[in-house]
Amino acid sequence: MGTMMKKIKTFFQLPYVCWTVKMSYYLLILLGLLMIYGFKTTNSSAFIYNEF
Amino acid sequence: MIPYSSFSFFMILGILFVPVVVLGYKEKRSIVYNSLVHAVILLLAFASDIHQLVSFIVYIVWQVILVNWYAAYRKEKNEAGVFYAVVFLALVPLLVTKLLPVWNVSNIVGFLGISYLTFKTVQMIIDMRDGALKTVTVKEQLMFLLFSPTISSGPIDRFKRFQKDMETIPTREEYRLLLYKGINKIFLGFLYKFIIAYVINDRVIETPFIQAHTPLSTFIYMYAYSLYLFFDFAGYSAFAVGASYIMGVKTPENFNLPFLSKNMKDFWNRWHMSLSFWFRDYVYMRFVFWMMKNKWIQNRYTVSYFGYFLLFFLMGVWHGLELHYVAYGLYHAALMIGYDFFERKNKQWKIWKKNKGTEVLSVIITFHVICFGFLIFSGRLF
Repeated sequence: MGTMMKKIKTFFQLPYVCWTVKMSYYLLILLGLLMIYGFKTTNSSAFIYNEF
Repeated sequence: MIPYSSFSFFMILGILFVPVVVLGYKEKRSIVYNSLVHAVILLLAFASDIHQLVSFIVYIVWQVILVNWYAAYRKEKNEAGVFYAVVFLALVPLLVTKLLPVWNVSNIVGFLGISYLTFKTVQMIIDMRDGALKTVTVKEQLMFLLFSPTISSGPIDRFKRFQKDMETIPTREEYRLLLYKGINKIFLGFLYKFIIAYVINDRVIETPFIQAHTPLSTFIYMYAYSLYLFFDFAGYSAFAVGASYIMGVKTPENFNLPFLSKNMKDFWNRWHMSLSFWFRDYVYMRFVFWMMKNKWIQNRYTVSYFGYFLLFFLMGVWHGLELHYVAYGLYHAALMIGYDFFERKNKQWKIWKKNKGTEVLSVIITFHVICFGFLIFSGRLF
């Protein structure tokens, strides 16, 4: 179990794996934004703490 | 245009940041160009409402005069009365902004971010009184107050920490790391504010079932609102911290996994940290020190409880003079005092032993207690 975890950790520390994971994370966020808002500009309300 | 609330804002910010990034990679910083960036962002934030713009300019002039006058005075004298008067005068615009709505008078004094600028100014005055801050030039004060990434809602930076960042130009490698972290933060902000907070609000809070005010809907609302509040504010903070990093300033964080807090003390070290630390340092600590020095109350625990009460009462009132904000402050004061008492007694009685199981249980209990606090804060109860 310990060796397996070590291998997984080492795998995710590889530069190209890190890069792919990070890029996928950014792309997923952009995809999420696109799905919710499309190509319109957001109509998001102000932040709650702007009121204070 | 409210900072970070629309994609157009981010597009403008992206364009404005191109020369900042290029200079950052060349281990340079242009004060003139950065000032232009701040001026554009401030104009975007305030120019659409002439009242806000005028109030903002008058406010800045007022605070600059106050701080510089006090800095000059402090070199000669150190009268307590003068110090309190200057702090009061620095607080006047914020007090007026909070009181006008109560008197049903239209608020022409307030503007976006007035609270956060006031915290910064009061902090400088107190530091001068303590001798921790000796001199401040108008330029330094303006750079601190008008730092645009955090203008609308903090995080509340400390002058000396900010000043250190302004005096240090990061190396190419340090800047590369700051830029990387900054972009990461901005994407995290998108995820929190524009995806998670939006979905919670749109798909849960705004549904007719939750808006129906039945006991079950209020129960669900309590958790939904707590998560919404966190993702909304943590999203904003991530944008503000991220933009600061890109400008080479390591603005402090506001959140550190607050819903995983083990108790109330832990929670206030993780939630809206820049505000809670400000209140801890400039209200609680000063109050406790003052009470102990004057020996009005001998018992240090009683002094500490009065300190908690004052801190959370002021924090509640700062949100607004509405009953639910005051109740929110008092609720947290009661929780902190209650937890402190329990923690002390538990050292003798050993009722709550420390192990993995109690730790998990502590997190679960604290989470529900916090959510109930946010239900009070939301104003849905009264």
